[in-house]
Amino acid sequence: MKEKIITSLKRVCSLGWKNFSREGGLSFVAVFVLVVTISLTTSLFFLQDIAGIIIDDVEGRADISIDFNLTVVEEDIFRVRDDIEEKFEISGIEYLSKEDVRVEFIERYGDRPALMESLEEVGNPFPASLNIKADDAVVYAQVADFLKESHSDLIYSVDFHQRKDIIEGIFSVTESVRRGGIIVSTILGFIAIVLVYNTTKLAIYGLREEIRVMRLVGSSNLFIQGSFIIQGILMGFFAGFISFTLFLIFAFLVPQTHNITMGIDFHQYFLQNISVILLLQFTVGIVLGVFSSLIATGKYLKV
Amino acid sequence: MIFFNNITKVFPPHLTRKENVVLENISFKVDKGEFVSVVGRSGAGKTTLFRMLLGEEAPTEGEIFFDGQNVHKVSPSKFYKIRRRVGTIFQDYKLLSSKTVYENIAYAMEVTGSLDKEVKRDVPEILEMVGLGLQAHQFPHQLSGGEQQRTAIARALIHNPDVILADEPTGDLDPYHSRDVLNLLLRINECGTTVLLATHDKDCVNALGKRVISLRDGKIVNDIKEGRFIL
Repeated sequence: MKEKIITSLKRVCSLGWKNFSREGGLSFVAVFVLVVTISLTTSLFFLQDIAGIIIDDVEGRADISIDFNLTVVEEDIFRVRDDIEEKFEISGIEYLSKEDVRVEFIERYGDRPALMESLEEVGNPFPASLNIKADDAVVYAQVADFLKESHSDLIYSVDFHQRKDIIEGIFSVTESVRRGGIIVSTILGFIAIVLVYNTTKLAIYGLREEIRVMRLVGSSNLFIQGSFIIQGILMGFFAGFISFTLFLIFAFLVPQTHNITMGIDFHQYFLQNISVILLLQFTVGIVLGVFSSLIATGKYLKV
Repeated sequence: MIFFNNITKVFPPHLTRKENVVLENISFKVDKGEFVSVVGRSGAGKTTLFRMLLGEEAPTEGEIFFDGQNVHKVSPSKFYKIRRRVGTIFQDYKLLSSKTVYENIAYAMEVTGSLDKEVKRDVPEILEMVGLGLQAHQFPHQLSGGEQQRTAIARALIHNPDVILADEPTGDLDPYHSRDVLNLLLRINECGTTVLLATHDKDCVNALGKRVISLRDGKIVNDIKEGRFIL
């Protein structure tokens, strides 16, 4: 029994391969569209992940910096600091005195004499500041509002809104690209289904005599249908294989991919996610191929 | 073994805009090992009867039983089991032109899951039986009509069926080859296989001396044991 099942399976696969190779040109076009669909789907997966990494990074680096008026004394600044610590859930608050800021400036620009001369002339023009870090970005907005309401007379500036804009900008861009990508890959997916469907339909038409004979001699539905399903699987498999190879080449042979992905090491990212990418690409290809073949055999293969 | 119970087949209106009643209240029984000729003019409904037994058409009314099983209650995914027990032979042979005689028969075994060793064992045997041992590697277009029909018979016999349905098997053959094919069918019947032969070949039917069911205008007009071709 086991031997018979294996023999039948081999024959179904061999027939499926024949169907696939017999419809050469059409199979090629269907595989090409599948490759584009799979590549786009994979890119969406990348985008989702990479956007997440970038946002996490920006959020991690984000803080709120409060610069006080030059005339504000340290006691007032500490009062503000205590207020913030008491009212908000923050992960850290750092006080930088006017002198700290000046030292920091000198450390950074000490090698530029023009700047150093100017600094000597004006004395210390830097305001004291508080740098606040929070786990939740929402807190920044709350702190900013609180400062505006309660201590506006002490505050020179609150540097928060610019970073908020960056985060929101990343969200907005990735969301638009994601939406666009979903729409385009849905359209391409539909085109791929239509193409695989038509290739299967033509294969069924070309084999109508053989199918009739198969049916008359008592071939099971599964056997007859099986070869066309294998044809769909082969299209999906080849498309998955080509897409994976393309991404592999991209990750390994193009060193500048590092820059393309905004500082993220694409090569490393690819290696870390290789199993997911492999699974995603082959699954998308094979599922689309089998789905289209099933519709075509359901409609045209009267078994 | 086979029982057609009150079968009516109406094809829906087409270009003529009129319903086409092909068979009307047809009832007859075929016992195991019988040789039955179904005769009638072209369009009398002979082929439709066979197609219904093979599950390719459904009766509008009535039921067909094969070995006690209501044929049209069998699920499509299980129907192949009935088809393996019914060998079919057609006027146009339905051989695959790209395959040799051997391959045509082997193909029937391969697509039904036979093992390679079974194919190698059974195909030469059946070719010898139908007298085509020497033509095994010839293509259908290299054979005479009679040889092509014998190939089709060999293919129908390869699963050792309980029933052979022969639909106008001598339709395209000269009298010599027709007799040849009929003799082969008689030999098959003598081995215990039930044979249903649809034909409008008067001489063949009269030469057989077996049961004859005559169809006219979709109705049975005669059902005679050791009958003759009467319409």
